[in-house]
This record gives sequence, C-alpha cells and structure tokens, in this order.
Amino acid sequence: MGETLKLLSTDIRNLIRIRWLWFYFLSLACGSGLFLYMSGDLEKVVLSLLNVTLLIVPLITAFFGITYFYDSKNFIKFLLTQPVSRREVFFGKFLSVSIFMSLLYFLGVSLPLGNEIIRTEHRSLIMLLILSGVSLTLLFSSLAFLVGILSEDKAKGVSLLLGIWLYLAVLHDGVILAVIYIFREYPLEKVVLALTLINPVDLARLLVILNLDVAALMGVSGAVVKDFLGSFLGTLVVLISITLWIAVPATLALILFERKDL
Amino acid sequence: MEGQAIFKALIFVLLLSFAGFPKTIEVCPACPVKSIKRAIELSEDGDTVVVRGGVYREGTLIVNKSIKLLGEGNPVIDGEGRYEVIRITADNVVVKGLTIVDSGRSEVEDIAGIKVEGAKNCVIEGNKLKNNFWAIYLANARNCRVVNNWIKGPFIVGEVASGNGIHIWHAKSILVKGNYITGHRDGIYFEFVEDSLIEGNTSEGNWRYGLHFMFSHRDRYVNNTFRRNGAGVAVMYTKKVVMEGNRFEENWGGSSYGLLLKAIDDSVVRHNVFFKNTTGILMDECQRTRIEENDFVENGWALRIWANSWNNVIRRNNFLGNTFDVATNSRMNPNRIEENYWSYYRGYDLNRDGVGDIPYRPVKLFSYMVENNPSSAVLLESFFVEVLNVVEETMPVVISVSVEDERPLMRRVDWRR
Repeated sequence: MGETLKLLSTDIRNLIRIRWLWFYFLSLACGSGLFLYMSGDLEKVVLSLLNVTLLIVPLITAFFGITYFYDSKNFIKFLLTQPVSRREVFFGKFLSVSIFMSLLYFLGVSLPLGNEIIRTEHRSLIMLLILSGVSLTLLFSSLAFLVGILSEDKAKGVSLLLGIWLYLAVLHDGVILAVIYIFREYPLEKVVLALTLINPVDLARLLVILNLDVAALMGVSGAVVKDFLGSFLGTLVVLISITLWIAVPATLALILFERKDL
Repeated sequence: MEGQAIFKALIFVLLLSFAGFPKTIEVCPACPVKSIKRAIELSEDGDTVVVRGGVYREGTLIVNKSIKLLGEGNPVIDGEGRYEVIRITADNVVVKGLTIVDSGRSEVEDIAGIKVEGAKNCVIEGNKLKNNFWAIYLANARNCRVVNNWIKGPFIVGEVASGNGIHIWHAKSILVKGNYITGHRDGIYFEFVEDSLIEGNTSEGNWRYGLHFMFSHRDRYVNNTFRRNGAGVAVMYTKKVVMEGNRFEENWGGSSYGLLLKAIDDSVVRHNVFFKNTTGILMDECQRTRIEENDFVENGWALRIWANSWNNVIRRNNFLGNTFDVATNSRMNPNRIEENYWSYYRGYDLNRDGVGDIPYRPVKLFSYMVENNPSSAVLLESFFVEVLNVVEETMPVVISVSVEDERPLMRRVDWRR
C-alpha cells in the first residue's frame, strides 16, 4: 500500500509535467467557456459538452492511457527488479493515470461552469454530466491498460483500442439501428432498452439527455426509458453496469499483469 | 293642433307603461330587494336587475326571462361548492360584471358557473369566474356573445375532476372574444359549433387542451394565445376552419402539440406563430388545407405530416431553429411544400432571384426513423445518427427525394407587413 502511494505520487508528478495533458485540459476549459459564452442557454451548453464527453474524452483518455503505459514499460520492468509487488506497481500506474485524467476532465468542465453549478438550478444536470464524463474516463483508462498489457505490439494495441472506442462511441448505435430496422415488426422497446444500457457511452448519453428538455422529442419511448431509469431497478442496473464496465477490464488487466512475463 | 299631439303622445306613453315599460330592479344587502332570486321573480321581459356589491348565496339562479343581470361594485355569487350558479333558459339575456365562485362538481349533471341552455342572443360579458367545475357552458345556443370574461379553474388534474373553461356544444353564430382562461381541463371547448368566431382569447395552463375543437365547421379563430397547455390545441373532424394570427407557445412534453390537426379539410392556417412546442403542427388525415405564412420557431418538430394527409399546401412559412423541420412516415410526398424559408438551408442563389438554386430536404433521416419506429428515439443526439443524417442529406437513399422544397427562399418571409 505504501509503495502504491509512493508510486502514485511520483507518477502524478510525472504526469503534471506532460504538456500534452495541459493542452487537453485547456481545450476542455476553453471549450466549456466558449459554449457558455456563445449560448446563454445552459441546456444547449450541456448538450454540446455532452457530445465532447461522449466522443473526444474517451478517445483522448484511451489514447493517452495506452501510450503512457507503453512509454513507461521500461521503467516498470526496472521497478519489478526491486522488492515491490506487481500488484502495487499496477495500482500505482493505473490509479495515477485514471485519477489524473478524471481530475483534468472534472476541472476542465467545472471551472468554467462553476458559477452555474453554485448559483443555478441546473446544478444536478451539470453534476450528472461530470459524473458521466468521469465514469467514461475511468472506463477508458482501464480499457487502455487492459489492451496495453494484452498486446506487446504498440501498433496493434493502439489500433485495437481505437477499434473498441469506435465501436462503443459510434458503431454500437448502428447495431441498435440495424436491430430496430430488421426486427421492426416485433415489439422492441425492451430489447432496444437493453441494447442501449449495455453500452456505457449510450448509457451516459441517455442519462444526461433524459434530464434535458429535448427528452420530450423522444416521446413515448423516452418516457419508458425515463420511467425505467428512475425506478429502483433502473438505478441499480445503471450503477452495476458502470461499475462492471470499469472494474472488469481493470481486474483483468491486473490479473494479466501479475501473471505475464513482461 | 299642437295640444292634440301632446295628448296623443301622453296616451301613447301611458299605454306603453301599462304594457310593462322596462324597469330596473336593484338588489343589495340593504335594498328593499335583498335576493337576486326575488328580483328575477319580480322582473319581466326586458327589465334590468342591477346587483350591487355583496356576497349572494342563493343556490341556483334560474334566469327564465329576457332580462339583463348587471353587477355593479363587484358582487360575488357563491355556489358554495354545491350548486350550479346561474342557469339561463330564456332568449336575449345579458349577464355582465358578476363574480361567480365555487360551483358544485358533477360530471353527470355538468354543473357550471354560468350555463345557457337552448337560448338565443345571450351576452355573457366581463364576468369573473373562479373555481367552478365548468365555468361557462352553452348548449343549444344561437347567436350568443361570450366576451371579456376572466376564468380561473380549480387547477385539479384528472379527466373527471374538472370541466372546461368555455364549453360550447351544439351552437351557431357564437362570438368568444377577449377571454382569459386558466386552470381548467380544456380552456375552450367547441363541439358542433358552426359559423362562429373565437378571437383574442388567452388560454394558458389548462391541463389538457388550450382549445379543443370538433365537428365545428366554418369557424374562425383569430389572434388567440395558447400557452403551456398540457396537450396544446386540438382541432378535429372539421371542414373549412380558418386559424389566423394565433400564438401557440411552450406546449412542451412527450405528447404535446402546438396544434393538432386531425381530419381537417379545406382549412387555412395563416399568420400564426409556433414557438417552443414539442411539435408545432401535427397533421393527421388532413386534406386540402393551406399552411401559409406562419413562423415556426425553436420547436422540437416544426411539422409532422403523417402519410394519410394529402393535397395540403405548405407555403411561405419561416422555419427558424427547430430541432427538426419536417417529419413524415411517408415515402411519397402527397403534399406541396414550396417557397418556405428554412434557417438550416445551406444552398446558394446565383441568379439572385431570392430563391435557392438547389432544393432543401427538410426531413432528416432520424425523424423519418422515429416516425416509423418510435423505439429508435433512444438514439436522439447519437453521433452515429448525426453522421447518417448528413449522409442522407447529401445522398438520399431512404427518404424519397420528393419530400423537398424545390424553391426554398433565401430570406425570411415578412408576412407581418
């Protein structure tokens, strides 16, 4: 545990020095500020930020996570010659990246919108957006570590991870659409709901959108989804789904890391 | 000669007074006549009953003579939560300046604040109606005027918990003008009301429809405001309606419309403003209806036209910042959509005639999908769907090319001039 913390703090000091990440943070902050400046309507700001949160944030997190892992591989190998357990090394690395990225996202969105969080009734809406963004950051950094450990080859690893991102952030909706189109003669509400909740990106999108005025455009299906998510079962499903999505890749990565010949 | 004329005139006047010269009866707590009921008993056709300030609890007042019932100094007539307050059964009755509160509640007997049954030429003007089950209720009426009344319902939600603000059933030549209605089930309700005019009313915050309108041919409704009603305005099963200069605002919710047109033929929708409604206009089974020179601003869907609507004309409207301009579940375009201004139009106008050179396709793939498969609505704001929208816009495959405006305008239609 002590070693983990020590590693964590060294790593975070390392991460702070990476200019790239500050660029990411500044883009987020400027973007949020700009959205807010251009449109006084907070609903629209949240909607624009949602698109960033669902597409760009996972992409950057995944990409940075895996490159950082590959880059520090030599250092990890060196560390493992010392009397520290593999588990501690893994946790140190994984936690530093995921916590730091989440922090950057959190600050990048909440600093420009701070006034809105404190003063307006949209507080819960923004908090929900930030929560979704942080969850997605955690999820994609754990995916990045898993893929990094799985694949020795850098190019293969990065492209596999990008493939996963592409599927979750974009193509999964295409699959849902195809299912809707092919089985249009059948009652599909529950199937579509299940398919949507499986994907964390869709889940985040629905969670935020259902709390916006545009949800009315979803008509009856929107009402069905909202009812479900508002129920006890729905909340449980959401929590379990998100936790599983973060925990399963991370645990797998840990197990592989402990066994693998680096 | 002159004396004879005077004498004749005198006799004439005398005769007249014997025949019942119009008289005025005053009612007030300190007057000789203390009860409105008694005053109505004493009166005869053509008389005036002036009700002075005070609170009157007299059960149901039945006006069965052609009299004027005028309130002065804000008299309050209380239904005590039990009675129908005023029932008019005679022709030529005027009810003016009264405050009518707390009628009884019964869906079976249709208890109202003011009910007119089978009468002609009635005038209901400048009254205040508060917390009544039905407020103003006209049945089998003809040539009546319901003007400048202020109506506030009980704000109870539920199909049988509250009646309509102004409810008119089976009537002809009615004028409903300048009323304010809130807190009822439907603000204004018309069923089998023909050749009538609804003008300058404001109907807001009613829990079902702002205006509910059925089988009411050749009516006009003009310059009204319908705001934040549960389901907006529904106009159904009617021919030759004219809807002009109205504002439909903020009717927002999963099953809410600015204006629902169900089975409307040969009608005109002109110079209206649709602002922030989930759906501006929903057209279901409409024919030969003209939608001209309206503004659709910031609605979810500006227009939803179902495939069962034919031969309608949508012309010279402004579509400004709606999430979706037009949605349809039809692969054909049996309606004419032309010369509208679309704020999302990105075309050009080389010959500078004010008409864009390439057509505008107002139906996005997503709205087409949702019309056909409501469950695909869960993909709202999905990036994949946005990409598909753009692809479909550039290379239409799914949606017929014919749902398009071939002559989109480059500048807003200035119909207010």
